[in-house]
Amino acid sequence: MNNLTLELAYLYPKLLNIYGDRGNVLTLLFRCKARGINLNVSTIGLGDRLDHAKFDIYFIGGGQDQQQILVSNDLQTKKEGLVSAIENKTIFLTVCGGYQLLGKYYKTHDGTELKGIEALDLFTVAGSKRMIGNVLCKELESGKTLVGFENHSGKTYLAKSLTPLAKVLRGNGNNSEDGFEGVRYKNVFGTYLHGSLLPKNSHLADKIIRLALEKKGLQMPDLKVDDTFEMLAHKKAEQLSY
Amino acid sequence: MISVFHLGQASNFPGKIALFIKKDLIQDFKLNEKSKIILITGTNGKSTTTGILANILKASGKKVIYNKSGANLLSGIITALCSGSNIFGHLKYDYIILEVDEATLPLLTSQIKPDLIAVTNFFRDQLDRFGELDTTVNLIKKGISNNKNTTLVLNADDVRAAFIDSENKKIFYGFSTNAAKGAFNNESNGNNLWQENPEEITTCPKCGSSLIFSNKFLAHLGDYKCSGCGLKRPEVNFLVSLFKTDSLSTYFDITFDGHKNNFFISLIGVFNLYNALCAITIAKTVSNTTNVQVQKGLQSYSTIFGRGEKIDLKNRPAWIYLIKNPTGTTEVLKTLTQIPNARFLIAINDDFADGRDVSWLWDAQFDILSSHKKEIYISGKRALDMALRLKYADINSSQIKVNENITSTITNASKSISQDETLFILPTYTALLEMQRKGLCKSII
Repeated sequence: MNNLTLELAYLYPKLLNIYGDRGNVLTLLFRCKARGINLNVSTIGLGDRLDHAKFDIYFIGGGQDQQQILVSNDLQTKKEGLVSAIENKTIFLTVCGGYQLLGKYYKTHDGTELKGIEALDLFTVAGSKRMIGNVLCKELESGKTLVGFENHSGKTYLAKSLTPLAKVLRGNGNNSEDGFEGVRYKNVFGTYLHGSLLPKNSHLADKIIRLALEKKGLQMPDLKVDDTFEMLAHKKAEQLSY
Repeated sequence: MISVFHLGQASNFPGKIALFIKKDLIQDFKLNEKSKIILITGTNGKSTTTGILANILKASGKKVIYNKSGANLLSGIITALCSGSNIFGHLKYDYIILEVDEATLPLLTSQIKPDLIAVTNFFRDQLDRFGELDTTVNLIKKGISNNKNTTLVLNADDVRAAFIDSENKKIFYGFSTNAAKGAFNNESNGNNLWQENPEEITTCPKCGSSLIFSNKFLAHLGDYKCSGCGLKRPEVNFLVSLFKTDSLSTYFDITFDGHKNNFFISLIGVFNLYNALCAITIAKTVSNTTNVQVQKGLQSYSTIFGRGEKIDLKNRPAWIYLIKNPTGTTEVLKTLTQIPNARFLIAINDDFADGRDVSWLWDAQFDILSSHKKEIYISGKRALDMALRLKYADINSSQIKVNENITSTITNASKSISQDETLFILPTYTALLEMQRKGLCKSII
């Protein structure tokens, strides 16, 4: 039981840190610990080498345009390893800017194209209206609701071959046009939801942990975590229509 | 005598004993000839004004001693003087700044000769008895009349302070009628809720007719004229001609001697701007401090004290620290967890002025509270998000007491904590406004 260990790579925590996305990492840490799983977190910054063989979970959050330019450039140097990790079914949780950069490009207001790592067949174009507010959506895979807060001007369009993460019940989602939110590919989760996402969507946090364990041939310990606050906070957020 | 009580950190006790033994002890202190004594009195804002003034004068390279926040009775004043003097009672300071309780002022000024007395304001909260305010005004008047040569610094916007009956030299501070134009014209951010303070009925101190206000800046503080005898606000020497406030700081212009000067302070709220204005007026009156030194003092004040505000909660003090963003919150937590017997109440709203997105809670280092073993009270519209944040900061769920209703949370908290504990309330902006609207903060000026 004590030899359950997972390795998480937290990419660019210093640059992509203004939307509270670190709460996702805190949630994974807490829920792993509650089940006797060691989750080791390594932070990866600009210019740092990424040991792709080591990591079971990758996390990338969102930031502002200026930071995202730096991240976009740096990701090009890590592109090959990241793409093969995705193809190898390593778990990825990416939010907002991190999500956008998994695709082909992000075209900003002034027409600049920030290069993505082209792991997924999607692209993002800055829209004229910023999409800000609480989001309620339904995860396609599980039928369970997801709650969060979106704050983006980028409109993301998925290729037909890609499946979204969720159907939007309230809010904008990927582009405020097609009614879908995020992307779901192999073990990749891409989303616009901050909040942070995982604390109030503990079912998704647990799914990520379970997938990471299963990929290593390990089983999720059958231990219940007390979810009282999580459920209440989720229910509260479901009602927020602003 | 003094040497015996030259001890410890206590803010009142040594002075109490000393006074018991020798009633006019205060006369035994020996001052440098050049040292100046400044007294700050009034119903509200004494501590903050004293703190800001001390910082400005320190930033100007002066040696300063002042009494601890709230220790403003004779015993607290003696204690402060004891701790600042050598064993012979010599006080080697350029400035002695004392916040003085209104009733203590006459006692103190009968024994020492202050160079300057500042009167901040006369506020009456709704629960007070009728007539009490006039008693307070008379006490201060008596305190002033003991010394004809003392300069007065008075709040021109408070009619009772401005027209205190005395022949002493007077310097006035106040707001320009248009000062708030920049602050409140942004309708969407809810800042104009500051103006929703309880109304006070204000009458002319000369003829008793009602006053007509061209503008009110805070409760009864404003630019006024008597409808009967024509009395009007005195000409203001230190005038806030414009101010703007964001969620963290107040930026303001003060016009004096015909020049406009910009400053900013990391405090919000019109009440704090009055405190800063009073402190600057005193500093400029008693010293040749430069604007750069004033600004330096204002900045050091915010770093030392955070944005703390002392309030009265059903006869016991509590402190309010506005929280808004991760950095500020982390700083507040770092400071407050150093205080023994601190208890916490956190109120999180997500109204427009707070920011609709509560994600920021996850960037603040609430894990600083993980060694706190007492119950933590959580309130506000997004109390559950806050509760969850604490849970994931390794705070035991059983310690987290959630109740979205701010009024009942504060009532419960102030009932539950013991006498030797201090309650620290950490609200977001609109949670703070809500507390004020509901009269939970009896005196947050």
